[in-house]
Amino acid sequence: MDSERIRRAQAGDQQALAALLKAHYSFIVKYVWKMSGDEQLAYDVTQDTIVKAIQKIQQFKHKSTFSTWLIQMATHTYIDYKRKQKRSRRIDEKAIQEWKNPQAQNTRDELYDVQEALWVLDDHYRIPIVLKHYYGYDYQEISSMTNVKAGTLKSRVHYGLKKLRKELLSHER
Amino acid sequence: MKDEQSPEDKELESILKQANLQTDDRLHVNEPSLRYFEGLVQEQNDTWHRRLLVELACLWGIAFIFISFLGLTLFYVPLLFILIQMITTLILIGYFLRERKEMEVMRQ
Repeated sequence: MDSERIRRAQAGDQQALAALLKAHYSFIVKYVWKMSGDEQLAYDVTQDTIVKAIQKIQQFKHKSTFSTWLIQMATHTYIDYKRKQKRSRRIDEKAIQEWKNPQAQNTRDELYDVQEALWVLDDHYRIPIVLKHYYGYDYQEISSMTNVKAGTLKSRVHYGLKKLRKELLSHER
Repeated sequence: MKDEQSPEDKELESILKQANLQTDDRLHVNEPSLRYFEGLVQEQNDTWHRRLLVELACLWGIAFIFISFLGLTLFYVPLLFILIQMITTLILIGYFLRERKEMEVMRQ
């Protein structure tokens, strides 16, 4: 379904491209949101990623899935945003409040803590952890997405998880 | 780096997987309509065409300047050469005339 749409989009079918991007919009927003903890940033990065996807659709070579290609662009865009704006790590308080739904708090408190603890980590730990453990990409795929060596990523995930565990323990206390 | 995972690592990974699913359920994305995406694609295409037009215009402009310069060079370089030759000849003639005059004065 996707590959047919992509081929049509690459052949110049604007409606196919629009439908393709609409189908993946929520996926990208959620990815950036989970990675940054900042709702507005998630929408901004997604907007830029969509524009880049429109401009570079001809460069998609069908070697990976379309969502992987989009995640790669979204990751680069997110890193660029952080670099340009030099934003301090800002966790969207509103998102966290919405996040902590009182009805669900008793049942799944630990899971909310995990997401919050993840947002506290540095980008270079958080990005590979999200890609590896949320999206199930292997180190080679993450390496090609982030332009970081697989060995480095492996070590970052390892130390990131260690930091995450420490953070979770401090939440428990 | 060890490849084997400790039970704590496995537990944390499973918590992360659950947290991911839970997060997906809880994040409510305001997805724009298809019309918005169509507009965005159209806008980007228009921008691309405009940029292409400007780039082509710049290319033609540069090509025109170069061709004009080449044309002028083709015409003026031989002219410049001939001019230099003429000036040189005139200077030489002047030199010979002066020398001849001096020789005549010396003979007298």
